[in-house]
This record gives sequence, structure tokens and C-alpha cells, in this order.
Amino acid sequence: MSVRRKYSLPGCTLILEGVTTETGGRRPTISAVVNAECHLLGHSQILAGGQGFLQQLTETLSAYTQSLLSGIVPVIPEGHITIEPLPPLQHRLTITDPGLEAPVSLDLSTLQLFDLLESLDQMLADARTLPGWSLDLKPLTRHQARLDPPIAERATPAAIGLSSLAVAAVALFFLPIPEVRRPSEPIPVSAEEQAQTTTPDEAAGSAPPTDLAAETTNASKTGDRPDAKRDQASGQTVQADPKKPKVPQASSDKPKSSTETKAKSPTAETSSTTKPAIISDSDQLYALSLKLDQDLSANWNTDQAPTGDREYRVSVGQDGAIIGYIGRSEGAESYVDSTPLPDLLYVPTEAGSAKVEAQADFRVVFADSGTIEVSPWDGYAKTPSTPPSLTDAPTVTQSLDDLSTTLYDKFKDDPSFDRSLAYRLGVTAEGTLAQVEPLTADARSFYGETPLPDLYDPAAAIAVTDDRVTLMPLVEFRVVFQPNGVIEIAPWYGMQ
Amino acid sequence: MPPTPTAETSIASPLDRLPDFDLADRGCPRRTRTQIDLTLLAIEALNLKGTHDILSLTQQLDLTRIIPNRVVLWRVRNTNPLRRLNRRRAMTIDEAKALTIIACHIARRLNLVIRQLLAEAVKLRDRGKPYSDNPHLARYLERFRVHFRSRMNPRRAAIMLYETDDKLDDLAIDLLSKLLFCTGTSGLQRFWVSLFNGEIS
Repeated sequence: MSVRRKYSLPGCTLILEGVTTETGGRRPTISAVVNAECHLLGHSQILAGGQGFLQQLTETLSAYTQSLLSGIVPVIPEGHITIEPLPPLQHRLTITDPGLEAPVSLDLSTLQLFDLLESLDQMLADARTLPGWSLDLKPLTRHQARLDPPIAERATPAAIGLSSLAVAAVALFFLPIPEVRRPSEPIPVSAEEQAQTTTPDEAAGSAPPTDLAAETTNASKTGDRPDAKRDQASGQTVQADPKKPKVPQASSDKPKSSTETKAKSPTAETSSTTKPAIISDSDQLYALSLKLDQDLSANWNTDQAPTGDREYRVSVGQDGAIIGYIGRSEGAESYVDSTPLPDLLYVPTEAGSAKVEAQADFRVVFADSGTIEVSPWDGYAKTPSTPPSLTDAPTVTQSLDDLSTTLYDKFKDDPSFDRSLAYRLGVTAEGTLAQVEPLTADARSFYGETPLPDLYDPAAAIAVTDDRVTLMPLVEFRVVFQPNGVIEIAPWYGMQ
Repeated sequence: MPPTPTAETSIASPLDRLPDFDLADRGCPRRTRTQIDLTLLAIEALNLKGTHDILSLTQQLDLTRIIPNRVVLWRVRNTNPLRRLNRRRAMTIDEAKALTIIACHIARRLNLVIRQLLAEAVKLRDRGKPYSDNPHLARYLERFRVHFRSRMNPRRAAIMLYETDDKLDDLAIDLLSKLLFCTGTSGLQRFWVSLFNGEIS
């Protein structure tokens, strides 16, 4: 006996025609669907097909919605139905079927998508319609999701991969004649060759993003491939209004638009167009390492830190923003949440538009002891020069005055230490204490007893001008706190 | 007295409706924590009594064992790493379940409002007009911006992305779409599963 059943929502009506083995009863159970039709409000096309079509549509829409909710690229079941976002607030559903002259595509608003999915969900929840069929909702595993990580994370491995590639290329090229710089000609060539000859260590960082990008592009095209083994029933998808020429035309653009969307992803963009220069200037590396150290220290909460040291390779732009990181020691990846790295990662505001002009890689170790060690991944080419110092008499005098007032204001008359504590202090032209270096072991131990911790603001030593991290020039002093409450303050370089 | 069907349902905790995932003692992943908190933030922007409703629902839905009071609710929500007062404590799977159930429950009540706001948003977008042209939408977006800015840590890179009103409005609209999907027949399960998408081994 044939039964007709309807699920209505404001934007979509699902009509099923099925067969039942039951006789009588007010609402017999549909055991098989012969024909399913989705009527969408505002669309003259009707989506129609057999049970296979219905199942594929449900699985595809469900997987897609799960990805909308999570931001993780979906693993769409292979078949003839694809759906992709059409920002803002729209979604393009495309049906490519060997039985159709041209692919059909429908642009759905979020509300329509919801109604369409909801009508299918209601059908699934209906115990009297296809009772043996239910949707297996479960999260994608890490492995599945890694095939195509979310846009924000996609930038990370690419930046890392690229940098290690470029570093290797530069390193190899410069090996024979280290002093000579011939930057432009050989790098692109050797970078390409390098992709095949990288050491396993390098390959771990560099190869996967490129391979996966290619793989996922292929995967996204599988929907267009005719599949002979397809369920016969689903071949009945019809285009109810074939005289509407706009749709086939729009849908014929689909493969193109799909590749366009892919091309916008940072992976593709970074790997194809931008080739960030590697910062090798020791002074700039030093400034960047200070900034990185401060940013990480200020945001690191050691409460949650697991035991053991964790080492990361961190890529930083010339403005000091963290543009990528990768765990280099065992367990570093899985414990990355206990470090401030994910929070500090710079995510481009518009996908793909971030231009990294130059970057530097650092080895960052979150040590068990609660300290953070930051050093350039490839070391310094030469010892960084000492930070600029302000030595002109008017500035030094003014700073001396200010520092003396501030220190005496904060210094208790009866200090708890019984020996002199000497420090080398650096003060910015504005009077902020930006650098503290204890000169003796006692000075280190009794640091907390001095007024210095309250005044010390390491961030002031660093300035970001024109998107470049630089060190602020400082006025330096030798300061000795005496147990009798006297503070000796003298300009480090004397009065000039 | 014959056993009533309610007796059976009260024994089964509402939490059992959602599957467990192996989190290996580390609590819920950061994306789960962020997403739950932001969803509740959108609900609060939609509904002035949002926090009150969340708390009263814990009683109705028999979730007081997990969220006994306002302070615990606040602590659990502060596991969102983007919060100003972020607690680096773990969010247990039961806490995540409780908040997810509550969020979907309220979203279902607000279904009509969510639909109307989304329809307006699409209409205004199509005409190239600002969202502020619709007073209801403008009120939601403004409340969301205020909530977001007062509670999230502006120094976090992820928050800096939302410095401008436009970016924040897009986030608010995106959360509205997500809330819509929470209202569906399988909305709760799908939302729950999506919170762990790509996070399980």
C-alpha cells in the first residue's frame, strides 16, 4: 500500500511517498520511500529523488551543519550532493547527477537550510517513517579534522612549514660561501627541490600542508565525478522547471567557484604568493626574542602546566606577533593549551589577506621550573649589539632626578636586608623602569625587598614602530640600595 | 500508587541524552569552552533575563547537582580562555553538558525571535543596508557588543579580531545562526557533537 506523508516548516515542505506493509491504522509505518520531494519557499525548483537521494541529502546537510556549528571543515559523504558556504548567510547546494543535463544548484539562506534540515530531522525522528534508519551524529576525530583544519589553524602549519623550508633553502645555499649574500636568484629553485630532499625532521613541519591542500582540493572535486555505482532510485532527481536558464549557468560555475574558495584559504595564499623573508639581523632577532619572552611570560599561568619541559618552534612576524607554532618535543602538541601560544596566535582578520613580510623562528621552552626560555632557532649570526643608550646630559639629569624621587618614594626606611644591593637599571626617556639587572647574588635574592618589582615594566623597553619591533633607547644607572635606607644612584656611563 | 512515567524520567539524568567523550583528564577542549560561553552570551543579548533563566533552568532540568548556584555558573563560564577573568581550571564534561542542554532549551524558546532577527539580517544585507536599520536587530547587536567587550580580554589575539563594531556584529549574527540550529529536533545532539568536532582521538 502506498502512503503519502508531509513534514511542513515555514521555509520548506518535505513530501514523502512510500510503501507500507501495514494495513489499516491511522498512521501506518513507511518501510521504504519511493519518492521524496523538498519544496523550498522562494525556489521554483523541487529537490526530488528516491530513498538514496533522501539519505545522501540528509547526511550531507547534517555533516555540513555540524561544520557550520564548529567551524571545522566537514567530511561530506561522497556522492552527487555538495553544499558550500556562500558568505554571508547563504549556502549553495549543488546536485550533480549523471541523469541531469547540467548540475542544479540552489542558493539557500541560513533559515532555508535550517528548515530543510529540520524537515529531514523530523522525518528521522518519526518512528513511523523508515524506522530502521537513524543518523549517527558523532564528532570528527582529530585525524579527520586535520585533513582540512579550520581556517584559523590552517595558517599555522603553513607558516611553519614555509619557514622551515625557506630556512633550509637559505642554509643550504649559503653553506659554501657563508659571507656572501645573493638573495634573489637561487632561493625559489632550491626551495622547490628542497621539498623533496628535506630531512624527516623538516618534512614533518613542511610537507603535510602542501600535500593536504592538494588532497583536499581533489576531495572537493570528487562530488563532480560521475559515479556509476550510484543508487538507481536516487537517479530520479528531477529539475521541475528546466526552462529556468539561470541555474544551470550558475551551477556550471561551481567547480570554478569551489577552487576560488580554496584559493582564498591562507594555505594556498601563503604557499603560492607570499614568501616571507627570514629575519637574520641579530639586533632585530634579539628585540623580537625579548618581546616574545615578555608576551609569553605575561600570559603564562603555570598552574596548569604539566610536568616536564615542552619545546616549541615559534614563528614571529617582524612586528612581534606570533604567526605560527609547532610542538617539537614529546607531548608539546597535546599540552599546547597549557601555554599561552594558542591565545597569542595572530589570526588574520580577513582570511588570506595577512601579508607576512619577514619572520623569525624561535625555540621556546616552557620549562618545568616555571621559566620560559626563548632563543633564535638558528642562533645569532653575531652577538647582538648592546641596546641603544641615552647619554646626553639633559636627559640623564632629568632621569636621575625622576628615578631618585620614585625610588625614595617607594623605599621603606627599615629595609629587611643587611647588605648593599647593586643593580643596573634602564629607564626610558619617559621615566619607566624597563630593564633590571642584579649585579650581585644578594641583589638577586633580595630583589623582592626593593621597590623595583612594582616599578619594573619590561614591555616599555620594546616599541613597535612601522610594524617592526625595536628596542627603546634607555638611560642606564647603577643603583645601590643600602641597608641604612640610602639609595646611591649614578649614571652607568657617568655624566658626559 | 501506580508507578508514574515521570519517576523513570527523573532517575535518568538529562545528561545521559548526550554521549560522553574521552577527554583524558584534561577537561573540555578550549574551543568547546569558548563556544559554549559565546552561545550563552548571545542568549543573554537576546533575552534580558538570560542569566536568571539559565539559573532557573538548572532547577527545572534537574541540573543543580552540577550548577548549584550563580557563582559556580560564573566559574564554569570563566573557563572560556578568552575571558578577562579566565580561570585556568578545567570544564568537566558534565558541566559542558549541563550548559549545552540549558543553551539549547532557551534557544528553543527563543526560536521565533531568532528566526525573525535572522530574516531581517538577510533582508538588510541584501539591500546593502546596515543592521542598525532594524531596531530589534540593533538592540540585540548592541547588547551583544556590550556584553562581549565587558567580559572578554581585549589583549587576546582572538579578541582583537573583533575590535570593530562590524566584526563583532558579524560574530553576533553568526552565533544567531548557530542558535537557530540548536533549536531543531536534533539540534541539541548536533550542537553537542559539533563542540567536540576534531577534538577526539
